[in-house]
Order: sequence, then C-alpha cells, then structure tokens
Amino acid sequence: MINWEIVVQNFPFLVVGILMAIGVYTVTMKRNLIKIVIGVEIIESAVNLFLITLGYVEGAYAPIYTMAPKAAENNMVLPTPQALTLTAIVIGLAVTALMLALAINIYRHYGSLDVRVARRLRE
Amino acid sequence: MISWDFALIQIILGVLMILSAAIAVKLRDLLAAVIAMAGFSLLLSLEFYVLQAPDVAMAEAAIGAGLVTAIYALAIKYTRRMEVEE
Amino acid sequence: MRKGVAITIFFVFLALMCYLALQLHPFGEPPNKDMDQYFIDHAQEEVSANNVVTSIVFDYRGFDTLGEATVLFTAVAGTVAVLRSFRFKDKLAVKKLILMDKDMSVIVRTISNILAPIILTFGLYIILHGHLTPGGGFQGGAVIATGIALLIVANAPSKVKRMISKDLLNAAESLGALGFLGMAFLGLFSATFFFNAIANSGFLFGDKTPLGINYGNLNTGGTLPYMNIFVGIKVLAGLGAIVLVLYLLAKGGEEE
Repeated sequence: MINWEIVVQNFPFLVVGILMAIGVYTVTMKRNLIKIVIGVEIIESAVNLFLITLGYVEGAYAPIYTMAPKAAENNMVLPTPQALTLTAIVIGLAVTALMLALAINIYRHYGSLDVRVARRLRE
Repeated sequence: MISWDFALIQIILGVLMILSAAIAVKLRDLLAAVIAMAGFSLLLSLEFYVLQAPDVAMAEAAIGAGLVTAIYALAIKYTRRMEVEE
Repeated sequence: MRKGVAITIFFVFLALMCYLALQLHPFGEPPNKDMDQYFIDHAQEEVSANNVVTSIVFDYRGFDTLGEATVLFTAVAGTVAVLRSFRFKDKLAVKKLILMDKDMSVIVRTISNILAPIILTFGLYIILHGHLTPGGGFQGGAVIATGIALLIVANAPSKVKRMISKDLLNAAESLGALGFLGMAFLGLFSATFFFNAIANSGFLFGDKTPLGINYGNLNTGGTLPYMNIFVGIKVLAGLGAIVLVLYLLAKGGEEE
C-alpha cells in the first residue's frame, strides 16, 4: 500500500510535516505561555527547513565560487531559497523576543502564566 | 535517485530532530525544555550544512542556539520555572 | 470528550501533512531552475562578488533586506517599550531579585574577559569577508551580539549599568539603518534604487572578479562590503539592546 521507495526518497519532506504537526499541537493544546512560544519556534524551524529542501539539486555543491572544487562549475544548488531563509531566521528571532517580553508583562499583571487566566479584554 | 549514504544521514538527522522536538514539548521543567530546543537548533544547523547551505547554517547556529536560548533563560528567570497543571 | 475530539483532529492533521509531503516533486530534482540559473551565471560579472547568496540578499533582492531591517528595528523598539516601566507587585519577588545583584564567580569572569575579544574578532572577520566566503552582515552581527551577551551576563546588574550605556547602542542602530539606506540611494544617480554603482569601477572595493572558480580578492564586491558593515552594526546594536534591557529588569526598568 505504501510505496517505501518514495518514503526513503522524500524523507526530509516527511520530517517537515511531522515537525509542523508537533508545533501546531503545542500551540493549541498546551496551557503554559512559554510552552506556546516554544511551539511557535518549532513551526518556524519547520518552515525554514522546508524552504531549504525545496532548493536542493542532487549531487550539487554550495553556490560559492571561492576555492570551490573543480566539479562545481555548472553544478550548484539553487541560491534563491537560501536568501529567503536567511531573512526568515532573523524575523523569527525578533518575533520570539517580542512574545517573551509580552509574557513577562502578563505574569507581572496577573500573577500566573496560565493562558485561561488572561481572558477578558479589559480587567 | 539519491545515494544510500546520503539517505542514511538524512534519516538519522531527521529522526533525532523529531525526538528532540517531542522531548522539548513533553518536559515540565521549562529550563530543561529550553536546553532541548538548543539541541534541536544545533541539529537543524547540521542538517542545513548537509544540504549544502553554509550561509544559512551559520545564521541558524549563531541565532538559534546562541541568542534565543539566552533570551528564553532570562525570561524564565523572571517568571516561574516549573509548569503547573491546574 | 473535548480532549478526544482534539486528539482526533491532531491525528487527521498529521496524516494530511504526511500525505501531502509524499506528493511533492522528488527530493533532489526541482522543476524550474531558470531564474536561479541566471543568478548563478551572471553574479560574478554584474555584482563582482564570489558569494551568490549574499549578492542575491543585498543586490538582486535588496528590497527584502530593507523590509527585514525594518522588522528588526520595530521588534527591538517594541521590546524596549513594553518592558519600560516595570515594577514587581509582590514583596517576595522584589527581595529575591535584590539578592541576585552580585557577580558570577572569578572563573566565569576571567574566562569571559578572555573569550570576548576573540569572539569580537571572529565576528568582524565574518562581516568583512561576506562577499567571498559564507557569512555577511546578519551572521557576523549575531556572533558579535553573542559575545556582548556573554559579557553582560557574567557581571552584576549595577556594574553593567555603569559600563554599557544604552544611548550608544541606540545611536549605533540608527547609524546602521541610515548607512544602509544611504548606500541604496547611491544607485539612484545612474540607474535605479539598489543598483550596484561601485562594482567594476575604480573606487575602494571596485575591482573586477575573474569569472569561474578563483581564489577570491578582497577588493571586489561593489556596494556589498559597505552594506555588510552597516547591517552588521545595526544587528549587533539591536540584539545587544534586547539582551541588555531584559537583564536590567531587576533594577526597576530604565530611567530615561
């Protein structure tokens, strides 16, 4: 029923799918605020890995010309997804720092880090 | 079709990444979960290097395993360390 | 019952993700390569840089980097503004934080004093050689910010407040952002915004690059080394400010 050859060939895409499912489970089902921030970080790492695995060419080398091996002349991986992933990693750091600052503020105001406590719009 | 030893590296790294992410979600001591996330970030940087992307591997190692762990540890210091089930 | 429904939805989501992952193109044979083939073929003669990824980030798709610099700036400003006037409510937390106002031990402080210049030099090397080897402004700035975070964490908060001034970090971040925009405006005189006007001319960093695989010449790159330096200053100041404002929370926020 399952074609095992495709599973071994496309294994990085499968890893991306499973990591995305773990991240979505953490964001929706956990109650501690810092666990939710960890879940958001797992989702972001899964998307970055997906971008890089889209651009891989089999048997090719890194897209840098300085002292590259002789076989890398016309045989390089796609460089555009790597440029997009560089931007995405820095933006992920910025979002995580802002979320943690907001979590510290919620703890100061309500006294607990539970998500169900901070539920009304004005307290 | 990709060669066998390359597929073996991908399988080993993929399984280790899934394991470390699952451990980080499951643990109740938040500081230990953050250390598991630092290990996940290191494995992700290694995977980026195997996929022939050295720029991205350097960025992920410096940002993911260095600065994000420090910011998490500082945030846990000002709130609670254990996750309480109510 | 609610928990059962949630578990079922999670397994359906997992099965959907795995099914979709196996329907993509085979791993290792991407279908369209035309745009990337143009970038790989023409990056050395138009941008005169050896590193194709950095030339895409700062020259061919420079607008995305402008957006990223804006997002980083906004996140730093938001973090500092949210944690500005901070007082803990219960007495026990305040007393615990006042007790935390001491240095780390002598071993940690000595090692951090030795390691910090080495990390700084390594970060500067990564920033300067961004157009030849893997690296660039963002990676080098993050490495130097890690060195600054090491120095901040190893000392007591009162000493850190005396040594590192927040005004210097603010000024450095603004200088980095304005310098990056100034280099982008240089191309406006000849062709368009973000055009590499210094490449293949006679100015500093303006040599030609020999085509194909070569040893790398530091004097090449056009506007790329300047942009790398400015973005490196901006990233290190921004991330250093985040770690600093999070560490000095115990003294009751910043008085400014």
